[in-house]
Amino acid sequence: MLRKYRLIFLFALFAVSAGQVDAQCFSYARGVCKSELKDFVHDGNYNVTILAEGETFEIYKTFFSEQEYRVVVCKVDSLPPVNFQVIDVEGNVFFDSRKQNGAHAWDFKVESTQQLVIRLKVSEKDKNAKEKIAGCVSVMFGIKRD
Amino acid sequence: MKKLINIPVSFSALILGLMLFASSCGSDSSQKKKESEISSEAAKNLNEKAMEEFNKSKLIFYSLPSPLETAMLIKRAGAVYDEDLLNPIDNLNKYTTNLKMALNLGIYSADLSYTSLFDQTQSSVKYMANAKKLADGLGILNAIDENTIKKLENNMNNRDVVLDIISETFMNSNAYLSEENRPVMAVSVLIGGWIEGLYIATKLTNGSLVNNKKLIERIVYQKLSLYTVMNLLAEYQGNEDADYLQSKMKELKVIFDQVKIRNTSKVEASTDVKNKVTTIKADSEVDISQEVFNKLLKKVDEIRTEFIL
Repeated sequence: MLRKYRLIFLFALFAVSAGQVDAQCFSYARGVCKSELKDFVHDGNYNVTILAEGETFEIYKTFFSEQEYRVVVCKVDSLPPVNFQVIDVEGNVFFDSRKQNGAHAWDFKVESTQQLVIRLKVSEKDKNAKEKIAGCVSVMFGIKRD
Repeated sequence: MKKLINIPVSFSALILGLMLFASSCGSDSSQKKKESEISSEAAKNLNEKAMEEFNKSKLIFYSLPSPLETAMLIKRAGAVYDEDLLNPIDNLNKYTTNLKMALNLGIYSADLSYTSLFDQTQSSVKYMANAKKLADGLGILNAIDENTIKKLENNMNNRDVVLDIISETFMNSNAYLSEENRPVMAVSVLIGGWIEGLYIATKLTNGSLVNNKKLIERIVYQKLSLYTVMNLLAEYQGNEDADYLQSKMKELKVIFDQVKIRNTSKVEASTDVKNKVTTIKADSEVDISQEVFNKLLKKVDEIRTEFIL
């Protein structure tokens, strides 16, 4: 039981670290992830956190009609693949990176303004592993220029 | 809006709190055996529960439209430029508390975005300078430096570069406050920018529901953004500044609750394979009466006035 206790504590520490974004994450987001927006202008919001294998992360955002958006999901190389879906609040799935060869960007627009959820899940190399890998994950939203 | 600014809601953090609590109980050698046994039993139950819950745990962030996105929405709705709507440059010296500096950093950032999108070069430089002073006042290092302002001046005829500069400075401030564990200030910057965008948009309607229907639609759909704001602030209940902002947003919510938005068709996605762009299609209806709109205009004006004075 003691071993199990330690394991949970380790997990919990990971969870807390997720709330304390590291300065290196900022450099990563700005230097690597932002460039993936290409001809879309970054909205300026900072959506970066530290996630461990198996963790899920959701961003709720309202997307407005008549704007074209690009969502880019980036993660550091040390992390296993991060899959992401774009869904609405009723659970309709509009994009699933697993069905798009692991794509990490998606361009879309909405005919009428919608609140959507970007749901990320870090895959696990070994579900029974005692230690989990954690690293920076960034989600950036770009808006198409005029 | 987590810590990204966006502030994550983590069930796991709760687990950590419980674990630390359990751990601290265990480290107190003066505890009686019976208490230890109870703690041990509780920890066992907690372990099983925690493991189960951890697997289901997730972080939730709420992302508000940034000042830049809001300004783009206003412009694309066919709005015009009206400098009289901006927070006067001279108000800067009034902002001496952290909350006021953060709110008005957001407000000046929104004004900066608005002036830039309408190619108001001289005003953009002035608003960037004000944003820099407030960022400095909040101790945000290097978010906006002299080079940023120089770069802005040198590229005033290149709107794409200007938008990138604004986006970058906003992210810098946002990231700094989040990383320095000052999430309430980070949220305050966002709320300031959001309220300023709402203020400019509502003022540009001249109180009419029919003059610019696109702009009205933009305003009405801010009901969804208000939901985001409320969720962001709920994370920091008990913090004096967050509680103050929450009370203001609740006043706004009372009015937005009278606005109806509903999808009237099934939501479907179709992809333009050639251009690789997906369109999410849904018909929707919005319903707002003139009376409710008047109340909304008045309340937004009132809150914004309180923020800038």
